[in-house]
Amino acid sequence: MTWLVWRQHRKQLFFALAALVVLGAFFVGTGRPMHDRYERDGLPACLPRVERALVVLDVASQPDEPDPAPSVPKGVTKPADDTSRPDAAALADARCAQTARAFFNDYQNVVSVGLLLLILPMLAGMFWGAPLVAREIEHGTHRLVWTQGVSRLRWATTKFGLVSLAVLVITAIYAGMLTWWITPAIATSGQRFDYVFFDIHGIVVFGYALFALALGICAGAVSGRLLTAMATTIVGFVGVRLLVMLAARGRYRPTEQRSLPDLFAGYGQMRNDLHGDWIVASHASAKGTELLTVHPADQFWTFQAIETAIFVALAVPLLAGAVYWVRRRVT
Amino acid sequence: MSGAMVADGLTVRYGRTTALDACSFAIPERTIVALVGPNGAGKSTLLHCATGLVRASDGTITVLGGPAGDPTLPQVGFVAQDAPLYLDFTAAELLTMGARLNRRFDLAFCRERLAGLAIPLDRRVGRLSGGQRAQVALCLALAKRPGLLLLDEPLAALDPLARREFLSALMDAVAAEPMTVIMSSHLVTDLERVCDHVMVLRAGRVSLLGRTDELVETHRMLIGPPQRRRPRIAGVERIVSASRAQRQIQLLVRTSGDVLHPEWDQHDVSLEDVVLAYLAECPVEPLLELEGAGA
Repeated sequence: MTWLVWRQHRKQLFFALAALVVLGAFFVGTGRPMHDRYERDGLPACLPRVERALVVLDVASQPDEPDPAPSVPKGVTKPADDTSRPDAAALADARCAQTARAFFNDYQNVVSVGLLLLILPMLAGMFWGAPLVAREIEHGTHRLVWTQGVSRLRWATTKFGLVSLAVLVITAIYAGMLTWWITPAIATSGQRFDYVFFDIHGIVVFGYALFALALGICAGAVSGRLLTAMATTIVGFVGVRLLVMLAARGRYRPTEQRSLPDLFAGYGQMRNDLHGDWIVASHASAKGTELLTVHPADQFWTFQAIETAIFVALAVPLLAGAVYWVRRRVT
Repeated sequence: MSGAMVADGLTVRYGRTTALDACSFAIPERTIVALVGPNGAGKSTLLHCATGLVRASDGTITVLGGPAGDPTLPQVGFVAQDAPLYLDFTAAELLTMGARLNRRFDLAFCRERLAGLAIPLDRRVGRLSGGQRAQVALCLALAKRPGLLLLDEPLAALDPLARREFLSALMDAVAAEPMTVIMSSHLVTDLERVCDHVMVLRAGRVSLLGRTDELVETHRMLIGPPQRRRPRIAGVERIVSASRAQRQIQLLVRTSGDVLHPEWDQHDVSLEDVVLAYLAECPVEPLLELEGAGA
């Protein structure tokens, strides 16, 4: 059975690997300069620290160098909680944030390719999933393979299992390459919850790919027609993805309230976009500070895990349904 | 009942159409059966039932003493209509597939057979001729060393020469290792040379099943004058079909002994005549009344 799966799907596997090589070449070609500059700008060192701050100094309103300590007039004791004057560390953070913004602006266009990557998991469903059973039925070869000495149950479980495994391995390679490529962009954007960034990296990609595959297999097993199965995969995948993204994702965890420190106290300060919260709403509070309704940045992996779980949970019954249909199918 | 294939009240419905309607029959072992019927009579459905590809809606079908489907599939060789094969596989790869998917699969036998037929093992099956493809499909089925071989319209897509070669290859295999063969066709003439039993399916029902030599012996064509009512003729068990020929009437009858009646001319029938009569099997009475009124 394993041999048959390999023989029937090796071409698809080679195509997928070739696509990975092309994609990898693109990632390396565009990613190398991006990573070089990322290092040169010193962002890997300063970003992890800056990310934690809710506000940063508005560097445009700061003097070039912090006042040296001696410039504090003699006889005036500096208050212990003096925030009115920026210290060197705060200024360095502000510069880091500014560099990050400039970096992200320069690479935004490259990263917009990420939009195209949104549909990659769907291709697994269209070109691996949909033909799996549908092509057998269209060519009549199910009558050949289902009348050998192997039960349809074993045929279906072996085939679906091995193909799913292959898709997951390919997804892992893809996700690894992509994560390397996109890390500087995500880190400097501070928008990990963004619709594109959230959806193309992390573990959700595995959930999407498995779901698309299961949808394609099941649609093919039920309809027995390749084109119907492919169309169903497109409509179903896009539909469910949009539904989950727009209607469900915001409710995975309760939102939290976050009030920013007074932005106008002391030197000019601004909200730190690098913090990476998912800002659902913002209102001005009575005291003139900003009050934010957010999903905190540290919830990112919780959200990823929940979204992945949803798509895996959708994929499992689809696969089970496909096995059921293959067994019950009247030919 | 025992036999290579036994059905008891076998019924298959696809939605609202009934493909097989309460069929009961027993096909003895080590026979070669021509399964004849027009399109849509249920021939494919019956063969699919025996392989488990289609499930009975009602009734039962047993194959070689066991239930049709997974338990008996290893002993059943099946070639579906149009001999579906993976066209991008080479013949050698198809044999590998057979060997991997069957506990019992005679690879050496297959290689030898295909070599004997001069079918290249390393060429993609899609580039072989229709006759060669049919031979490869037959070979795959025979390599299981089946007790029951089911062939669905094996000759339909073949030219006359390929038909002859296919049938002689089949007969060689049966001679070497006895098995029951059931093959379907529109026409019995295709299979007359090789089969020893005939089964006629009409509209989902078995209208005839028997040994070919007995069928030819026990049926007669009677030609006589038009009748006012259903004729009663000594030695005639049943009138299978009636037709009008000029001022005479033709009856194809099943006899139970010698037919002795001065009004009727007797003629021997061929197997094809018998099968056609059972395929048509039109009601006799209207024809007789019409003839009677005209006379």
